[in-house]
Amino acid sequence: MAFETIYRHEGKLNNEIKEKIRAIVPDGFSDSLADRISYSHDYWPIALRWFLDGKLPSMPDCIVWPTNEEQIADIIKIANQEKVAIVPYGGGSGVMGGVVAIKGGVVVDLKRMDAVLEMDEESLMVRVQAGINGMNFERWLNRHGYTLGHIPQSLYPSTLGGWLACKAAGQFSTKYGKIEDIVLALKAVLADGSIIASKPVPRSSTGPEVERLLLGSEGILGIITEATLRIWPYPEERVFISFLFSSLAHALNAVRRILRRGVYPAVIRIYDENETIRHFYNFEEVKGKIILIMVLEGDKKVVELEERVAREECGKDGKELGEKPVVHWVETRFDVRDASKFVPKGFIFDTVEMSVNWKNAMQLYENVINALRGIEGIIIASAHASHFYPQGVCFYFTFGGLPPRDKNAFDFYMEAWDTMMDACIKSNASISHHHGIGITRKKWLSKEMGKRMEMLRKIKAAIDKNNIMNPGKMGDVNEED
Amino acid sequence: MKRIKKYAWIFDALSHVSIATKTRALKHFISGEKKYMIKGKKGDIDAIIKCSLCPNMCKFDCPTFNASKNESLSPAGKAHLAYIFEKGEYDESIVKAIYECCSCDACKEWCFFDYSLADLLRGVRQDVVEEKAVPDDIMEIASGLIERKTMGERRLKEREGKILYFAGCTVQDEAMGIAKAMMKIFDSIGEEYAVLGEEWCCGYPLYNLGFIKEFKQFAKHNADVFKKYSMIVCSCPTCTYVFKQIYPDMGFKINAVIMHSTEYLARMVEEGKINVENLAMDAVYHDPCKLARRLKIMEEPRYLLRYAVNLKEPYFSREETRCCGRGGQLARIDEEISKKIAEQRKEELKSVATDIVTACPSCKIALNAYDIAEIVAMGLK
Repeated sequence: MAFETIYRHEGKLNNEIKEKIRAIVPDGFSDSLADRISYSHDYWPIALRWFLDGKLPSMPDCIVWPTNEEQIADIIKIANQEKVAIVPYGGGSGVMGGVVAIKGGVVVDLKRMDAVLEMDEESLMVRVQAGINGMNFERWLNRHGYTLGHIPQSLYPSTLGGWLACKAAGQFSTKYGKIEDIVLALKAVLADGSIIASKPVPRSSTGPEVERLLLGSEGILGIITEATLRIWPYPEERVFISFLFSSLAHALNAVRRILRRGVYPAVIRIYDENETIRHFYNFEEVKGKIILIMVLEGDKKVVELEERVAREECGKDGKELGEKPVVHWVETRFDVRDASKFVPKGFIFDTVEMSVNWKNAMQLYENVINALRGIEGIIIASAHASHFYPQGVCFYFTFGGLPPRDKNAFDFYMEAWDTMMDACIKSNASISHHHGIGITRKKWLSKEMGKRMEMLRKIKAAIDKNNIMNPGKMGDVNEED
Repeated sequence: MKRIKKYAWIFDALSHVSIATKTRALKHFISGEKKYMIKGKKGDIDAIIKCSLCPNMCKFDCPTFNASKNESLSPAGKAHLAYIFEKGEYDESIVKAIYECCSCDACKEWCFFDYSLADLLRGVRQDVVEEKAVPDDIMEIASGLIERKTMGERRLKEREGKILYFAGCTVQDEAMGIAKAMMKIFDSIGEEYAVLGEEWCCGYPLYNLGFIKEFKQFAKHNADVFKKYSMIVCSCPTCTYVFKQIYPDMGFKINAVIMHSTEYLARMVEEGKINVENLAMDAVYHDPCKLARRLKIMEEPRYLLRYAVNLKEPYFSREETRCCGRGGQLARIDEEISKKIAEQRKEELKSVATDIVTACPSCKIALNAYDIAEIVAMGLK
């Protein structure tokens, strides 16, 4: 059965090679049509439209579900011998096309490696395999009185390995940190089949932390199979605060001042005018305003103090709205129905996150929104700020619209992306805060990285001599980025 | 008014665009999805599309996905393949995935659309039947049932009475201990209960696998047979659900009071007709999916068990229960996955107490558990 694919490949994996791979994972191998379709995509928004139009991004030749590092190493050895691609796969919830096997080959699904191996309650550490599902892991920790504090909106479908490989950030990250702050040690199978592991200690000064090259590597250097992570006692106290502001700048400033005083609320979210009425339409007072919501959590006495500081700073320019908007956010934060509702109606959308220093924050917001509004067909151009640092903020932009009649969906989609990336670089911001590079951002990475791009290529070429690991993505030695 | 407020953000966004874009947006908003609909299908195409375009926000709780770790067996993955099937592009692997579902409704618990994938797939399976694309092993389940009118062996002898005890296929074929316990309890009360000599299956497997025409024959037969009884007590939550909800929905009204055994037994204890002594055993209760999620019967089992055992609760209980692996005929469709699901659930339950009690014959078999009726019968004073 022939399906139209966007990225075509030669399909180098003949039956003989498949049989060699099957022999390594006899209970974890498939080349069925159903599975090749299911693993042809992640949650790349443009691929949703392609799916409805009867097109798939790209079909892998087969899928394997290994259960240990040795099996992965053996598969990688065969891939090196036969020069076939290996694409690591976690939960398939990435939004950049990162796991699309654009050169075909073998998709390595890590989800059968999902055991919690060890918990050290005294040291607040847990060792766990990379294929574990986010929600099942968080539930396991909660049952034992702990939290990871990493709660991305993709918590339900994503995996630990995906978080590490894409350098993810959760909604509670202002207190608990991003995944690179949470991870203490890693185990991985590299592109040459060797297995590396780092020590699970709080810190070491033992030369460059080479294993950390794998954080955000999106499968181009190897496969992360295990990690030791920091955990936190499950919060004793949780406080919800919301404020309304007359301008985005006022709301951002309030948060900047809170962080400057050393208070780190777990969740801070500031929505621009459009997103305020989008998400909080049930609250009369919000029209024409900017809403800020916060969740402070942890030890009761510490939270009491943090709450006082947060209210003091927000109260300078804002008006308190109570806890109801935050309760509403908590209840609806995993409601992602809009894609299912609007994509079949023909609308193209995506969300784009960028990080920027405080002094350039408003400039970035205005430049990106204005640039988007200049594109014919763009209807939605909005943003919220969702991750904060004493030094700056991450804006999470949403665009949506209809391609003009003379433009196809992908060209329209990429025009919006190009426009935003251009505005981002001109505003001295980083092109990605936590979604990563994948296919969509690949062409912008060189501009972001400058000379470091060459360094990445050299590292990739040294570790992955045959360019088998997620080829066609960032750092590919055979392609101009 | 609330609806208008809900879309205020769109009106706000439209205020920034040209009239031409506004007009196009409105047209797409009202009827843009028409081009992706497929006419003449029993499957709910609109819902299947919406489910397939979700990033799989329920999959962490889907038993077939958790047991296989295969995206094809995740809820959105199955919806994805179902849409491809409905468009007429399929092979056997795609059709097979459409049947890999426990009908447990765990997905529905997390779905903001409130979709049950089992409900969505059921419509698609009707199209599979019409297309004559049913895989051989599934066809065998259906044709065997259509021919024999039961899923296994019938072991109960016919008897006359005022109320009907409807044991169900699984009890008669694989879990006769439940029927014996129920009959012991009926006798102790002095209940005049009837048993059918030729008990027909409730028909759920046919309903679930997409054989609706044949299911209706079973519904008609049973509805006719049930006319002479004032009350029907069922040991199986699925039979109870089918008689209470699906038959009436399909136009086969049952006048008799339909009760699951736990409802009946709880009433008998409440009325003082049976007395149960505590068996001094620690036992964990497993909520069967149909009983908890479809019938919302969660208190009666606990009420009974508080008398009979030292009741323990698992982490996943009530409507957050987990499937035993045998729902939706999965034990016959994919035995390997079904057993893995059972093992996972058994492990969770055993970590709480050595003995497991449930209220469903399929769960009893899968989890090697007691049925509540057996516990009550053991504790009869």
